[in-house]
Parts: sequence; C-alpha cells; structure tokens
Amino acid sequence: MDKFILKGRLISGGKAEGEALVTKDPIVFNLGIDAETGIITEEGHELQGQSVIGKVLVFPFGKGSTGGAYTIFRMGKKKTGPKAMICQFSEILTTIGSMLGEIPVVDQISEEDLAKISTGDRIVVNADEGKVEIFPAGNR
Amino acid sequence: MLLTDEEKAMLDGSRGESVRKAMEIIVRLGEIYGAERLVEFTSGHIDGNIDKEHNQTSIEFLENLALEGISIKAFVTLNSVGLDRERYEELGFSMEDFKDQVRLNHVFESIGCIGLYSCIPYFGGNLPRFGEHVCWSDSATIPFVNSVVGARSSREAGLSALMAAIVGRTPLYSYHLQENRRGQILVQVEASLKGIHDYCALGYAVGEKVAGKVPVFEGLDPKPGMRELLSLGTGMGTSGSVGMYHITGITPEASTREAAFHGKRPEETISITAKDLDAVYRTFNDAPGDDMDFVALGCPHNSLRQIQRIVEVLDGRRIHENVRMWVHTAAPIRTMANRMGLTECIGNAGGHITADICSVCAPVKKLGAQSVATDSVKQAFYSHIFNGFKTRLGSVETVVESAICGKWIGD
Repeated sequence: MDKFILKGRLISGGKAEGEALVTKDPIVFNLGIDAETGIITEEGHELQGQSVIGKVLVFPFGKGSTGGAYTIFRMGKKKTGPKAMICQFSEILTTIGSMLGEIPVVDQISEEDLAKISTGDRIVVNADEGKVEIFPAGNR
Repeated sequence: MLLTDEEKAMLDGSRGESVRKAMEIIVRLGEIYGAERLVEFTSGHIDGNIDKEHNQTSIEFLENLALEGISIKAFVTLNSVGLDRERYEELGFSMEDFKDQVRLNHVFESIGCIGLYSCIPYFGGNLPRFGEHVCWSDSATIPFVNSVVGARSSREAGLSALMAAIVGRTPLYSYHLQENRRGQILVQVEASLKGIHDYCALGYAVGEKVAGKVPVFEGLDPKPGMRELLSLGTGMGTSGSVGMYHITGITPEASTREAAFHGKRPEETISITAKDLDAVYRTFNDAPGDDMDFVALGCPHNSLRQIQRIVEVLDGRRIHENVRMWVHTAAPIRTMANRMGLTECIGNAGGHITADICSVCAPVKKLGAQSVATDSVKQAFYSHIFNGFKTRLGSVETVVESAICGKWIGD
C-alpha cells in the first residue's frame, strides 16, 4: 500500500515521527500503564506487556480516572511515553495531560481510518496542522 | 471564542507568564470541546493525592508554578490524600512515609487551595448554590454537585481544574450548558435497596451500562437520603464517566420525568434487578477464605450520621485483634465525632477514626494488609487497582460484625 494522509483535529501541538503501535482497546492511563517503563499493564489489554516509549500510539480514546492526565504529563516530561498519539476522540484527561506533557496529539480520525494503520507503519505527525502521514511497513 | 477584555489581557501575557500559560490551556480546552465563551467560577475542588497520580514530575511542576508566584482565583478545596497529619503515628506510619505528600500539600496550600482533604467537600464548607457554575474534579464529587446540589460542573481532571482555578474561569461546556443536562437513559430499578452499599452497587451497575450518558432513575425504594444520593453517584463515577444523573421526583431538575428528559423521549430504557446487584457483589467479593485483616469504611468520607451508625453496630464490643479498622471522614466531622465521644467509642473498640485519608492513597501495603473489607464499591475497585488487594463488599452492619468476629460472615 502507498503512503496515505489522514486529517484530524489539533489537540496538542508539535511534530513527531515514529513507528505506529495500534490498538482497538481504549487505554486506561491512570492504572493501565506504567509511567516509568511505558509498558501497558492492564489485564487483558490487547497491548498488555508492550512498551509505548518512542511509538506513535494509535487508540480509540482514553478512559478511567481523570488522574490519568498526570500519567500522560509525566510520560511526556520524562520521555517515557509515546512520541505522539492519534485517536478517535481525545477526552479531557488525554487532552490536558498531553498539552502539559508536550506530546503531539491529533484526534477526530474515524474508527475506519484508524483501522487502516498497522503496528509497525512509519508515521509522521504534524499535530499543528492536524496532519498524519502513514508510510505502510509493507512498502519499505 | 468570545473573550472579555480581562480574559484577553490574561491571554496576551499582561497578567504574567504563568497566567498566560494557564489561560492558553483553558482557551484551547474551550475551543476543542466547543465552548463559545468562558465562565467565571468561585467554587473549585481539586484532586491532590500523591499515590499514582502525582509524582516527582508533577510535584516539581506545581512547585515551579508556586515559585512563579501564581495564586488561585476561587474557593478551592482539595480532595482526600494518604496522610492524617494529626494521627499518622497512631495508624502505624512515620513522617518518612509522606515526604512527597507533605511537599504536595504544602505547594497546593501555598497557592491558596484549602487543605480540607475530603471527598465530601460540600459537608466541609464548599457548598455552591443551585445553578452556580463551578469547576470540580474527582469522579465521585462531580455527580453529586451537578445532580443533587444542581450546581454546574464539567467532569474535570485535577490538572484542568487547577489551570481553571489559576485564571478563575472554565470553558462553558459539558454540564455547564442546559442542553447537556438532559436525561438520556431511563433506568427502572426493580431491586430493593437495603442501604448505602446497595445504592453504591446500583450506581456501579448503571455506570457500566450508560458510560457517559445522563441516566434518570425511577423506582428507588426506599427513597434515598443525601448519603444514598452521594453513594449512587460514586458508583456511577467509578464504572462509567457519569457526571450527572436525575431521579424523578427527588433531584432538583427532575420534578417530573418530562422535566428530567427536557420533554424528549428517553433514548433507551434499561432495568436493573437484584441479579445486576448480585453480579457487582460477586465481582468485589474475591478474597480467598474468610480471614479478615483490614477494614476501611468511609468512601466517600463518612458523614456524622454514618459514624454514629458504626458505633451503634459496635454496641460496645471490640473488633478482633487481627483486624485493623479505619473509619474515614473529613477533619471537621472528626472534630464533631471527638466532641460527641464517637472517636473514643471507636478507639475503645480497637478502630480508628481518620481525617483527610483515603486508604487507597495511603501506603497501607506497608502495614502488611492483604485484603480490604468495605461497604463501598469505589473503595473496592480502587483497592484492587492501586493496592493489589482482594476485597470484600457488604453492608456496614456485615463489615462491622465481621470485623468483630475476625471472619467474613457475608450478607
């Protein structure tokens, strides 16, 4: 598959490039992820045991306690989190955490479009313009 | 977005760099979630605990804000924490266990937040009026302030409530707007409710089904009091992201079903039976055997009436020597409990009345506890997640009788 571009909405500004880590499961930032190691710890999560560090995390939305904002903030500041995040809907905890933690985030990408992205694809995110470029891994 | 002259001055840096940064975030939040303007508020409530949510990075961030000279522009109370600053030694801790918590308390208080450290701030002096715009965080306090008090708060994160408090304004969005307070799902309750524990379990079962929508309850029997209402919202905030609910004929914006649904039809009708509640109790009764080691009552914090009830159930008896029992409340209520001799009664029974504490936030693992028995689904849920505890869930009568036996007797 050739390179393609998705347009979404700016949540938290910045540019980043990295490998996609994709899940269809919502992410519980407050307790489902270890902010030191970046490893997803939630029991039964599709990405359980995998690290989000340096990845472009692709997920539907965040859920659970709003304290998760502090987790995202900390991962951003300590660089123990994703380089960027792409989601369907950024609720308040993802939004405020990524703004203060300076992690670029684009939302309002449909479930259908998110499904076109596969783990391992190279992603270039320009959150300021709400632009996501995908270079499918099979094409490299 | 429509900004006043003062808001523009905050945004262009005329009120200082920290205010500019906070204002930029509040305006961005408003733009993202479709607010046409900001609204000033006087009452705020911020999550200020240390375990999991706060950490060195957050503490340094807050300390830097304080160094920059920010102060908050509202009456803002802080949520419960892990430290009872008057009785931590009696509970088995040393100040060494709370170094970060003390730093965090200090920085929040230094910028003007009120160290109430309670998840029932309305019973400790932070009680807005009907229709007032407020800015609150904490999943259990928000449904109460919206639904029972009739004030208007979005479901804020601790960080966004803090940024809002720095500028004294929050975006006019979510439950601030009349149309977003409309009931969406009709919940017919067909189970009989035997106490606040059942109201909390009912809330949990409904929160799982309605996610973030506004439920309207009918068929609650017996009619709920303030504490039952508080527990209902607590359960929903735990399993779902419910920030607002109605009860036909009970809550102030639901004099009739029609009023609750703003004259529209329910999007969906669900019914809750005894089976749904049983499922909640099964989920949260997963501790093996029947040995007891730790009891936590008061999530959210106990009212004075609930502490009286615990003393009534104890009826002069002592709890088993293997059991540690904490009765959580807010500092003003403990002062009253002291005056009324309730603290002494619970002390004589071998338990403790704590102030400021949520045991989920306290380093209870250090005390050797393995499991917790409680009457609150929220306590059970977060004890699983934060403390890795197995749990037992039942009525306050069952929990206290079990604490006396040293064995879980079940409902």
